[in-house]
Amino acid sequence: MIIYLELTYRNDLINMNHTALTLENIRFRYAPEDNYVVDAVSLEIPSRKVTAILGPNGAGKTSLLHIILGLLQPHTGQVLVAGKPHRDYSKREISQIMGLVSQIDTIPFNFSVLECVLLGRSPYLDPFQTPRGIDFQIANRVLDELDLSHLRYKPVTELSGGERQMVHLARALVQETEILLLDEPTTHLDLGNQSRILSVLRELSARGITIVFTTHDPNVATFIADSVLLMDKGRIVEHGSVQETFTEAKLSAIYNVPIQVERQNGRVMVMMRKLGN
Amino acid sequence: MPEPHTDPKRLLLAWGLVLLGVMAIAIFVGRYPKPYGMAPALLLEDTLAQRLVLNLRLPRLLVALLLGSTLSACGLTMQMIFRNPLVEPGFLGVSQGAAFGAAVSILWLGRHPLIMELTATFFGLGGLALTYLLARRLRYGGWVLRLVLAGIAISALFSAGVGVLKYIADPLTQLPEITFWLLGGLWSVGWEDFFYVLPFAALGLVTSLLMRWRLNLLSLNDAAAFSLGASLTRERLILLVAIVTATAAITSLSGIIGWVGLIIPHIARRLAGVSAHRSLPAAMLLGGIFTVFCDTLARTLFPGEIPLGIITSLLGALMFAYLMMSTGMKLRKH
Repeated sequence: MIIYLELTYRNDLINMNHTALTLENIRFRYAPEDNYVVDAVSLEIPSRKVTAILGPNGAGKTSLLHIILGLLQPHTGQVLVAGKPHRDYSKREISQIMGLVSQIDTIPFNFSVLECVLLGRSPYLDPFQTPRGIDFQIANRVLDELDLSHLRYKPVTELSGGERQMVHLARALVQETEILLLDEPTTHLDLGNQSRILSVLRELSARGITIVFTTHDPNVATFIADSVLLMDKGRIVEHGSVQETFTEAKLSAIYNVPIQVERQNGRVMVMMRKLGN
Repeated sequence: MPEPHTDPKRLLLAWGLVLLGVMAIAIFVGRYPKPYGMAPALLLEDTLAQRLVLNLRLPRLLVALLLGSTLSACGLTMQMIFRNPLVEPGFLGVSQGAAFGAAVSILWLGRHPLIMELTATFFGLGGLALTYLLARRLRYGGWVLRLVLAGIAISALFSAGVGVLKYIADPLTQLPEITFWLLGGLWSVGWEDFFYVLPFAALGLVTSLLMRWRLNLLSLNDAAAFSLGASLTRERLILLVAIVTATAAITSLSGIIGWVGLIIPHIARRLAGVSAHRSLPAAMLLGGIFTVFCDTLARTLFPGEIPLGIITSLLGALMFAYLMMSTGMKLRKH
């Protein structure tokens, strides 16, 4: 699949030669009596690279993504976006810098695919404005590029899981952001659809987009991630390349089952060694 | 996949014309000079006919239009904000709160339309606020479920309050007034009522129309809406306060009119598409058509007036059942 996105780079908003995201000692919990779901996380996410946040269910991956987005406010620490504190940007500016593909959820209203994708243009519309000609053009172009044009008027609720995830990705792409956050983009998808999503992400990365995604499946990360963050119980356990990070000892420890790592022709494959402990 | 058969813009224009047509016909339908209507020519010569049309039918028609549009817009707005297609203005304690306010006004504050509107609006917004506060304190279920449960509790509280007020009301003067008001109808409205309710209704209608694209965003999950630049709390609050104020004010005039706010948004979405960009104006137009039609039936079908709320409930419930059973009502085939 080839994508010809013509991103309008807004250098006036951020300078992507800077580190895309810097997290400084981030701590977050949902209620004072709870444990921290994100605990003392400090890290740098480089520009124009693919970073995978990997960890077991409940490790705090989604919370971390929501903190980067600004939906959750950390109790301590701060997030820098291209070297500038997150709070120094307006909400509208952030939505022009960062897009999110959230986990698949049920949609109570059956928007058509085009309507759904057009919503991605909202960061560029004034509060009382409805989509303009240019917004329709951009939405249609992205639908063409992702090979979704034939679904344009189909209700989102009638799509397959793979098609729906592609539509959500299209919505984030019309947002024309430098940074793309994805929460479990391949979960619940079959191998064909996983491969399609990952190839689009790789293509986007080649075009200079900074990609951060969460996954609980190490084998998804091995395909496209330039660097991997291993997360467990709210903490970053490891941070490095796939080759460095994916060792049997480290993975066995965070998933708490024996894990086997195979290396073939530079590819890393991760699998369970046996059932149970 | 083919293009949608009908261009939504032309669809809206067509419904606007239908609305004007229905209103033009409704003006001449009535029980003067004989049952079921007058010839338009009569308006030129008969001064009684002129007074009837200008002082009674026209303001009533306009209030019916505002009523239908406001209830439909309120229903659609609430359905999208609460991400639940079965929500309607009676939900969240708004209608029952407004009813309680109107009953308080009838009992102690007088029948002046502005006072009734203000008390109804005050208690309608109060119902919303109480529902919201209670929902925050509930320790059960997700946010939408908690709102629904809190709304049920607060509505029940206010309707019990109305029961108490009916019990202590003067059975000869105040009680019939409260009872008829609760059944819902527009028989007593005049120009004064129209001009008092217009600013409230306009506030809700204009605010929701202007923010209709934002409404689409608010119907997504929180993370997605936030990532697209929505200020969730602020935008929800602005829309809800504007639309609830409008609904409570118009409810103080009409009494509780059921089903319009539930059924019309469904039809609007089916015909004009889900996006509030089109479905909100469509709901306003269809709500106007439906309510003007029902009110015309209410005042002409029998020599005595039928309460409007009964007719909207009857037709609304039938349409709802039909809509739920049919799948063939879509203009957008695929």
